[in-house]
Amino acid sequence: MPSIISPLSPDPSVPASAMPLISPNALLYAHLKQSPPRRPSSRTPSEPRPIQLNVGSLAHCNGSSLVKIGATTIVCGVRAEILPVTEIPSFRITKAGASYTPTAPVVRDTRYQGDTEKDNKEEDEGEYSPISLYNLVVPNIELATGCSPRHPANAAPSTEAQSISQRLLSLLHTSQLVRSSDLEIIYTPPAQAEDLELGIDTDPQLKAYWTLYVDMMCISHGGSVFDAAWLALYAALKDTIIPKSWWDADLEQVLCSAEVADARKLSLRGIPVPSSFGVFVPEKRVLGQDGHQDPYWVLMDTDGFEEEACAETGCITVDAGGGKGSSLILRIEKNGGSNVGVEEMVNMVTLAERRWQQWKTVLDAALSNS
Amino acid sequence: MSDRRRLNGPAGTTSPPVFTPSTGSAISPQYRSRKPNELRKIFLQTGVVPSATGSAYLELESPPRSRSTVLNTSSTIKLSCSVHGPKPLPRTASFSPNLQLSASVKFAPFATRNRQGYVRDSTERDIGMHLENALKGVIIPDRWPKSAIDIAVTVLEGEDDQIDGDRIVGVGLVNMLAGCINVSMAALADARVDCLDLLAAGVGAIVAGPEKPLRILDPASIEHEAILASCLVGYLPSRDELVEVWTNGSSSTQGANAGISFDEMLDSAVAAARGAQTVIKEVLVEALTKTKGGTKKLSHDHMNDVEMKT
Amino acid sequence: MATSALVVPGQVLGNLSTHRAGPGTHVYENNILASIIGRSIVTPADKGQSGSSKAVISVPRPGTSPSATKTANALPAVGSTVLCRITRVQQRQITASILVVDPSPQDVTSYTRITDDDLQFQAVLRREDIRTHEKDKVVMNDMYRVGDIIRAVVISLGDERNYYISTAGNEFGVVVATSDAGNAMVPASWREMKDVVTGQGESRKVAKPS
Repeated sequence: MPSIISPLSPDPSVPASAMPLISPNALLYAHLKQSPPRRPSSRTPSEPRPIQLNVGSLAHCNGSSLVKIGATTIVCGVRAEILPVTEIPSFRITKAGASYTPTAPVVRDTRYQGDTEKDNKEEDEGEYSPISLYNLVVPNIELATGCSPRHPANAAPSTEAQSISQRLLSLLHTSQLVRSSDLEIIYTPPAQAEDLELGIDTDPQLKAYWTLYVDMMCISHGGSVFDAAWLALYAALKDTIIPKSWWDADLEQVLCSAEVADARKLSLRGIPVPSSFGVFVPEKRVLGQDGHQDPYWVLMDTDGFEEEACAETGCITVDAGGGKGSSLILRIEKNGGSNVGVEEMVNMVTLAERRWQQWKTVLDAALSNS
Repeated sequence: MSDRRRLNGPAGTTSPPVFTPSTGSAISPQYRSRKPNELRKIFLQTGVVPSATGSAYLELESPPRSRSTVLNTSSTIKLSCSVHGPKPLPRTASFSPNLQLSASVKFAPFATRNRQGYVRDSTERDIGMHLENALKGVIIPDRWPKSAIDIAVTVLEGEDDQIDGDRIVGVGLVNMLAGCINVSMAALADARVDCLDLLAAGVGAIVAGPEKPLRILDPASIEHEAILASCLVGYLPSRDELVEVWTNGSSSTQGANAGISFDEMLDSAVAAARGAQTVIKEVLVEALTKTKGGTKKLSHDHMNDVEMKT
Repeated sequence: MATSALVVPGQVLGNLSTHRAGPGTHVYENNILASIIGRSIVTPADKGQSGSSKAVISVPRPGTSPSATKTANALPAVGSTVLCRITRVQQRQITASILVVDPSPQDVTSYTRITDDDLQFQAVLRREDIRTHEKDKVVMNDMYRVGDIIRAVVISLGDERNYYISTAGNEFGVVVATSDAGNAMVPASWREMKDVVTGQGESRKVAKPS
């Protein structure tokens, strides 16, 4: 940490230590105009903070994770609960031609019987996926934990918290991270000779869905919370085990096996990794006669202090694990300004790919340790 | 009625999974392997929330974990605490020459065996009140006129009480309050709010022994079949004062439980509190040594790892 | 000045018969006890002052050490110099939020500190406390504008919410200001500041640069 640079203060009677309080913008500018530009945390503008990850430490969860990125700490727990299809209002099978029946027959080949044959080319579920139709994956982030002075405990969810939860949900849906086939609980009635003669249907029936509640507690808020929350969510889902479950026709309910050996992991689609950034534009007053023409800096993985000073922000989500050498851009968000053009966005995709590699390494290490 | 400010999931009701009676790996009760006067190890760390004036994380040693069953009884206590302030009184407050302390406890939805919603319930309020009262007994409020301080404890994991329990009750709750008091004291000291002493909390209990009831320190509920009585104290060691007492179960001054009187149980709790205080003190002194020795680093960097041991 | 070991609240540091209790300590049954964590310091008695000749034991709130970055700032007291940001200018008074109390060049401020105006202690500068002379001719808008950073002194603990501050005196007044055009300004005289780019002057009560 380079100590605060002396020419920062316009008036020697204002101590340098007061500068972050008086003018965060001036302080950030003073750091970034150095050559090469350095941020107050002595990172370069494109350098993200290291990620720490720990999985499986919460006893009461099907899956859990702890993600620490700089001063941001998120704890995430996944709980699986059962949603019988009888609980779903106007439940219908979305496949063409199927009509409403409370215990709808599922026309399906052998795919559901084992996850050995999980094929990546499985058809897209699209917007009619049961996951988005019935809200089977429910992410919520809690910021009201005293994680920063701005987020006092026991307050109602702030706009920021609501917005992050919504963005997480939307990325979950658009990236189709969770397979709905992983969440189905299917009953195949025993085929008996006399049933067949009587014409009784013995097709497999969808009896219930697993619902995944993904709850994230923000322990410490230090900027780029969305990234940390998504990575925590991803790692926790990766860690999640779903108990073996079956429909008990006599009890008319779903029963589960408590054996870990029977349980299975979720098979997630790809590894989407978001990279948030901020665009710092110095105030006119701090530029003075420095003579630069509209300078600005793109800061990857902004910390809390930088987030304050950046009006233009955005996030690029990529999945570089495609295998064909090119990464997929899953989502681009940007708002609050017009400094960053197309070319720079393309550059940032490269940075986002680097972030993906970083996360992959951290994730693999954590999963192999757990 | 659903909370529109959160994502509420399916319109229908979901229910926690029902497990078949486990074959083979039945949940075996765990027995206490510690000595009667031995506490569980406490992992404590300060400075986990850089933007707070003070913060701490506390975790109790977890019992050996069975890896073969999805049902997990080996939960422990994991708490995070942040202190904000002293700061201006809220707009609605009237003048006060003293520091206004408020404390709250919040359970994460995954803190208990079955998922809890986000709505604050009576257990949280109750334990928050106890915590607030205990902490009010240790701060020196007149050092901070016209100011408020907020203490927020987040429960990431609570101790299980029974096999099918969905709420933390009994000894689990008492242990939780003890943890809340200890983690809050560490965070308050980290924030350098003036205090009379290092407050510490401990729990003592009378449990059914093989022949006659036993007196133990720091009871973990899953280790005992029957806890006859338990007692929590918030204790100021340097003045030998109690700021909080909470007992469950019956005990008598006469020593009804085979000669173990209430006083003796209270003494056990005080001994447990003394043990906890040693840990708090060690951690605080160590944190001080670290910051003194190090070079000029801002709190960005000098945040240490929150380690969640598996 | 002697430094001793690291102390925690409740630790006995000395006795009232030999020492006096300083900041960061409290007294219980004639003993001086630490009330915050830190390093205890014994300051020899100030011979010049009448009264007790006992040395003072204190546990300083680290102002210069890195750990100060995340500890509570000292509260404003009568006589404290404060740096404030003007949040509101009215006919009879000015409202400001206190950013720094008793600034010293050795302080290290954390970048994690949040400067929202509603999280800071609030101060009121009444019209009659703006300067020492011609108090009745003061035009508020010629003195301070919203957003200016001023140096002031706390003159009273005030009412339930506000501290009362004063800028009467040469060393008090605006230290950082932005011009109408949005540029930084430098002091031109005790009553004017100039835009560094356009050279345009604006009226302010300027603090004498120290």
